[in-house]
Amino acid sequence: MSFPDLPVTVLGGYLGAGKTTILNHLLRNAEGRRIAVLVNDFGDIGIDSALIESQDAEVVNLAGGCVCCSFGSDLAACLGELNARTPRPTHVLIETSGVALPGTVGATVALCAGMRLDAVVTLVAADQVMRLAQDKYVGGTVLSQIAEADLVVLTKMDLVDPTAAAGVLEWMQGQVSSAHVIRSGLGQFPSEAIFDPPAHPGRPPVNEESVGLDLPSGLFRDIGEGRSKGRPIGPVGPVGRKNAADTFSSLSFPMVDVVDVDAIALLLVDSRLGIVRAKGVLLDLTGSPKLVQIVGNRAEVSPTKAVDRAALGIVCIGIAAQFARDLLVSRLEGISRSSHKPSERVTDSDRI
Amino acid sequence: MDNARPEATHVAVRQGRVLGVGSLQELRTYGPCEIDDRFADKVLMPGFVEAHSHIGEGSAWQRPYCGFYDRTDPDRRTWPGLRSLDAVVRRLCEEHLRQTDPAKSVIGWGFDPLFLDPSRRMHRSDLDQVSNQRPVAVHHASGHVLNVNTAALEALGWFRSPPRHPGIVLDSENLPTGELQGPEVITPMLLQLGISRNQVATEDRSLRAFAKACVNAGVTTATELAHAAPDSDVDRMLGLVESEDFPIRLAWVMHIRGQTVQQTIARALAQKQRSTDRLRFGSIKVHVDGSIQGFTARVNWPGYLNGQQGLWYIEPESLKALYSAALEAGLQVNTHANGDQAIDLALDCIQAALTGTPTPDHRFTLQHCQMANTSQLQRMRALGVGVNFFVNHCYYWGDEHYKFTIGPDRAERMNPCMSALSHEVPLAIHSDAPVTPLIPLFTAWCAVNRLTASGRTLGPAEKISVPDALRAITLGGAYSLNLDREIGSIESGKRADFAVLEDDPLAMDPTRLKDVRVWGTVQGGRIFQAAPRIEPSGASRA
Repeated sequence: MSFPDLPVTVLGGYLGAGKTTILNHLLRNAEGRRIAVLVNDFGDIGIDSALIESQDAEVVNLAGGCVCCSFGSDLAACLGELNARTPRPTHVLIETSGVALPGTVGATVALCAGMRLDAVVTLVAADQVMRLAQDKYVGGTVLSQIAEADLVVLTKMDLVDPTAAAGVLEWMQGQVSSAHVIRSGLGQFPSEAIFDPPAHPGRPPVNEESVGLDLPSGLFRDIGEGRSKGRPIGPVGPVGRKNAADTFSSLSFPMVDVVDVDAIALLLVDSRLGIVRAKGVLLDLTGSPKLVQIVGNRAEVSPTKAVDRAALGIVCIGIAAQFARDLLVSRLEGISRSSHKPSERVTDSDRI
Repeated sequence: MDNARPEATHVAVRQGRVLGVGSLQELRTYGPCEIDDRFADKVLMPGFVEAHSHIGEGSAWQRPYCGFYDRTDPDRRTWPGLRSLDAVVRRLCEEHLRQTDPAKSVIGWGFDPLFLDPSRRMHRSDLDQVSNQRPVAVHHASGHVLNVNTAALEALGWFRSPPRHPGIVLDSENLPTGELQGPEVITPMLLQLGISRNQVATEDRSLRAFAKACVNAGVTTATELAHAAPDSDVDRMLGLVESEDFPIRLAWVMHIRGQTVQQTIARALAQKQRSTDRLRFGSIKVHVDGSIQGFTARVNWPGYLNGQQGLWYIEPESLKALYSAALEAGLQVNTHANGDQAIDLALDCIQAALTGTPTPDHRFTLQHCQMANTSQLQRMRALGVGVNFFVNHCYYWGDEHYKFTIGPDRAERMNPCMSALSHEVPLAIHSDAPVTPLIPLFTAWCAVNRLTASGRTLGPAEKISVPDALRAITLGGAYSLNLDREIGSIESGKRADFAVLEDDPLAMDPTRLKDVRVWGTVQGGRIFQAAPRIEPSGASRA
């Protein structure tokens, strides 16, 4: 029996961006996921000692079936070994060095059988990034790290005053053409951006072997009214320190009938909808089940096993302040409708 | 090499050390002696110091050599250079027939397509001629390209549906050509073929082969710079290196890879405690950037000819932390920095570290340092930093740098030995074996003549004299390894380490310096003769 490919997240960003803090946070809140963390060397990982169960030269065993491995300079070999581990991890996080180009690391993942690059995530410290981008040595590297990201997490927002925060956001808007920027502060971290969304509460998981164990729906906080309609990033009003971090909204949209899956995928990566992640199993126009996975601007559509009718549909996660929920719903309904009426299939001019 | 006594007729040796140097009558001052005149018609020089090499030179020869130039293996057999793709295929076929274990792949090394017919790039179909079942690969001399056959691609599932990666070169039908570029794709392929990085390096067989290559070249002290050998290997190495018939001293430099700064310092200090006469620990290696021919060295504006700038291998903060910690622990750091921006960063960090922890005579050395400019050399002088130039590059890649990587003017001032000397920066030169052959006399020849393989003189103003070049491969190398108190010149008190030469390098025409013949070595007073040369049979020079 073949397993689905292991999702791999590449976590990049310069020193001080908070990679270690985030890794510890994710490991502490693994919630049943078997996370494998790969680091260049053990010393700097600073794993919370409370999490460590045992360790040898190459592997640190952590609570809940998580592990941490040092890959030195042989990432490909380390990934290969992980794939063969029992029990198999359910998600891999690679922490790159501060000067590594995470896109390049991501390309290496693509070479490993049994692995799937889920996202390149670059962490950027709000209180440092603009200065670093000007550094005569590492400036170009920091800008490349941002340019190569599917998602950028702007950390330490609580350390910058509102004016500076607005300045950083505006600067980031000029840098980031296609990635989504998530604000984080006070040690909070958007796990929603890293891991797959859960199956719709009350329904069986989308993919039996996926990470999608039932996460409590309280993880997602719908903001409610007053949501902006489809701007990718933007000043969202004065950012007081207690509102430093982005929160997330979600949408579950069932789709039990055949649908133009490619049109759905194309829709979901439109940055104006503010979707950070999306996942689901849909039936394409020939009736074959297709797995759709979206992270930032990256969309993957692949054949998959059939699932119960009740499990067909899409779950989308977005940054609450930018999630154009209503627009999304109406566009999804539109594509769904026209998929049943070939003569009314959505044309390019109808797409937003 | 002793300024006070540049030449002599006799040297007295006692207990592995030089007792005295001079005329026979002068040396009788020391008392009764035995006269050994087997070298009466030879020339003795201080034993050559190969100040930047890797044990891989010993293990590389376990696989078939596929290079363009003739090259001599540790048994002194000269393998003819291969001048066409067909010749390379034939060499690999011979290996395929010789290698009866079906589980083993065939992997050639040293391949350099630069001077072959440019219209015909190696393709997997060429290597399929060797075998279409067994994986076959050829490693390029640059280290950045690996050519494989179809079977090798299929073993990784890269043939029918190749992963989308810029390093997997595709033809017009989107099938791989068999050419793999860059370590990201080469490493998984090598793993599949059964090669892991550190695998054979510390095996006894490799160390012995390496030591033999040293004797053939007149080398009495060499380096492994650098290695990540686990501490468990140290016991075994000590046993071998301290044995009576092991002919060289080895400076074993530890790489920081995979360790924090604190771990590195602690391990280096612990290993230093275990140093013996012939196995020296305590030095540290760090990489700041990559290589110029791989476009991974960090280059200042205007960057490479193709506009790229290179890759950093370490953060500035970490580099400075390493230097500070090493200075406080009294440990030497060797810094790999090829591009001029990498050199700038290294010097900035060294300066900051020295300001916090002033340390006279720290012996920090920049390794390769190929793009050093005059102002950087002046900084090095001010900071007491030494340089170890990869001057063999002028011959092997000089034309490539001139035309493709950094352009004519920057290529001509690569490895500026003359400028280093005139700015009083301690100078050493090296081969980085097995990247280029381990032959200090050839390295000296490169520094004196600066000829590229096509015959161009690359920057005549940077040529140095024969005596200066010979100093660089003896005392200069010793100084860079912090061993100049013990080796590098023939003077009373130093180790009895000599290169025994058939010809006098000072009497030869400088253009023929590389043709000086080596008889063997004396190391710690023990005599080692190089194996007799095995000339190529003349058959396969296609």
